[in-house]
Amino acid sequence: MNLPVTTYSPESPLRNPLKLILTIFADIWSSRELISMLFMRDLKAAYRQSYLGYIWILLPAIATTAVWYYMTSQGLIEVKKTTIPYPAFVMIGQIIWGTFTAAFGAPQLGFNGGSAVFMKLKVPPEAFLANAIAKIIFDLLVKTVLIIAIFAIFWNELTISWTILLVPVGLAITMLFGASLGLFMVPLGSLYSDVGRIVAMAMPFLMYTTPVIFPLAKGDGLAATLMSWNPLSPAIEVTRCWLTQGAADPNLVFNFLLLLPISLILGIVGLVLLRIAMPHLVVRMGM
Amino acid sequence: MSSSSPTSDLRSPTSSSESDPDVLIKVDNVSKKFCRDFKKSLWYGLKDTAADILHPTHKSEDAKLRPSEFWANQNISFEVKRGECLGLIGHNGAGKTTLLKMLNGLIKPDTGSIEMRGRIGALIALGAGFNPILTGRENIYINGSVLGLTRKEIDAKIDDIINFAEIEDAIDAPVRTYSSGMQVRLGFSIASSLDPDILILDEVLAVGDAGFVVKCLNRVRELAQNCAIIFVSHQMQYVSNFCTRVIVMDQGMPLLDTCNPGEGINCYYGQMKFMGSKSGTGNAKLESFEILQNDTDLGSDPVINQGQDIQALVGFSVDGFQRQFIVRVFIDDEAQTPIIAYPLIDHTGDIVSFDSGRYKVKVPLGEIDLNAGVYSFMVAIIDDDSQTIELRESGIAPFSVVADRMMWSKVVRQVKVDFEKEEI
Repeated sequence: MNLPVTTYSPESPLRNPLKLILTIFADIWSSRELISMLFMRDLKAAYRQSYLGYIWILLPAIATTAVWYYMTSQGLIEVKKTTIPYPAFVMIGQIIWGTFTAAFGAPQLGFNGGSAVFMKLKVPPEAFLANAIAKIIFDLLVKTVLIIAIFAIFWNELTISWTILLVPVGLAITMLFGASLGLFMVPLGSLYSDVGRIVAMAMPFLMYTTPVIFPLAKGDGLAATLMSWNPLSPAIEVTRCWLTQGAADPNLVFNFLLLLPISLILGIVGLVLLRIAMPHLVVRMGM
Repeated sequence: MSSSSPTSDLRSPTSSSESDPDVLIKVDNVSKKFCRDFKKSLWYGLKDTAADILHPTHKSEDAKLRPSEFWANQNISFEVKRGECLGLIGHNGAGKTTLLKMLNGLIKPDTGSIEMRGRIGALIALGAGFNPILTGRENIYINGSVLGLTRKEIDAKIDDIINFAEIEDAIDAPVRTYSSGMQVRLGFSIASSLDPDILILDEVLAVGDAGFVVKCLNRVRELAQNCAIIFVSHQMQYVSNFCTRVIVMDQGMPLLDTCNPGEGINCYYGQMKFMGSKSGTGNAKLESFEILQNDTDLGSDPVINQGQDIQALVGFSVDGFQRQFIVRVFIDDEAQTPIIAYPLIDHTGDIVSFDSGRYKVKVPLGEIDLNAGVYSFMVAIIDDDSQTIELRESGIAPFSVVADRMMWSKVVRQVKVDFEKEEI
């Protein structure tokens, strides 16, 4: 009889990094059924107690767009002229930015949601993280309704070009970047609640240094500098351009595509980090 | 998954698998530190994680305690073979849960190594991950999946799971409408439908109604035939029934490791501290209390074989002009629930009353047909007239009763029977 042998010892799992990475991915692969069941569970449970149901996925973006449209149309706040109609600009910016923030929060959210389980049972925590990310993809699919609506309203002011096929790629990279950054925060954020609070405070500010509400600032003021250094600016600018106008500024596209390898590396490092931290987290959180 | 080489350099990594293929659990000199101070423990957690990242090849066998740390487990070694059941017993805080978490791979040992062979099933957190809004049926799939069952396996087992849990009628209702008993039944039913090589049971039989507990016991016994079991319970009847070996834990260390469960249970009971209590008016005083056998004082903490005859010599004094007092002696169990009352009567069958004075009374306690366990005495002295309780003292003269077997009752009375076989 050849039974699989599992050994637990004080050693760092990083002693054999390649094996650790392979184990993580093998565990994620073998928990794909679990991920799909968790996803279905959350989907079924999420809006069972709600009258509006899935409409709640759409409402935040609509509300923000309405607020900014009101403020600019009434002249309360002046925004530089955007290349596409302002409501479309804000709405699409919101959807892309929302994808990033949701992806950034997803690892911690999934971790917290599953902690009751994997603090007591031997279950790959990555399954719960993957479930949280699957939720974002689902939300994005629902939000295509908003994009279709925008195109229906501003049909004569927006251009549909072949680059629209690149939009899923743009969103995927944005999401991957957010998720890999968020993954990094999980071990520390699970030990100290300060991390979550700082993030909650910093996120809105971060939004104003990306072209979500305001177009890309030009010149050499502080806002322009912050925006040009913010790695999310190209993500939003390029994806929005692909969706509504066509080919984007090649420089921005290059900067944007650079996020892909960075995210992949960060993501793998983040997964490894989480695995190393897990037994230490269980001691502190689950006893 | 193959094993990484064990920490201990004393043996080669392959030696264990060569020695005995039936050894499924091998725990070798395992220790684990915990920290009492929560803030410090978070900081240590961060440091330990950092050390794992920065010095991955460094031998982190660290046998030194940092400030505020203590050994939650220390120097634990054992092996469990297929078909064996190891009972882990000990009082709260003895380190059983910590050890289980290490066996389950949730936390790492600080020294030593653990080798687990085969599929591991844990009946620990019954119903972990139940979603109250979803139906029982939906939750079976999710919970089963958490426990490592595939959708196909669950499809094949779902009817058995529902039948075993006895919730056919409620299976399509949300789990939040279930009683706690129903949730536990469903949880047990799902968790026990695995076919593990190693089974970890943590206090799972402490819940549910008596009828279901019997079903659970039979299910566990069924599973036990083909796997190695680690069994944690505070209920010694179960330990006595299931375990082929017992480790008594105390303050993180094995106090006793024995293949005689009875001996282990006695040791566990021996650790019990009786918190006696004393109250009353002060008019009565217990002077002495001795346990005798054939007129010999057995001393303190005596061990009595089940079925032996013992006596108590009770010395007390009562004080009160023209008052009469009655004395009652009780035997309490380990939870200080009275098991036997001994009203003191005279030759005519009347309750003896004592007037003011000092007495020594020899009380024949008869045959001690109590279940194995620890017991103590309680003495009450009451004013015969006003029924005022002048003295009530419990936790007196603790003693233990030993027997080859534990029964599921407080009193064990062997009876001789006559019978005849009826021809049908």
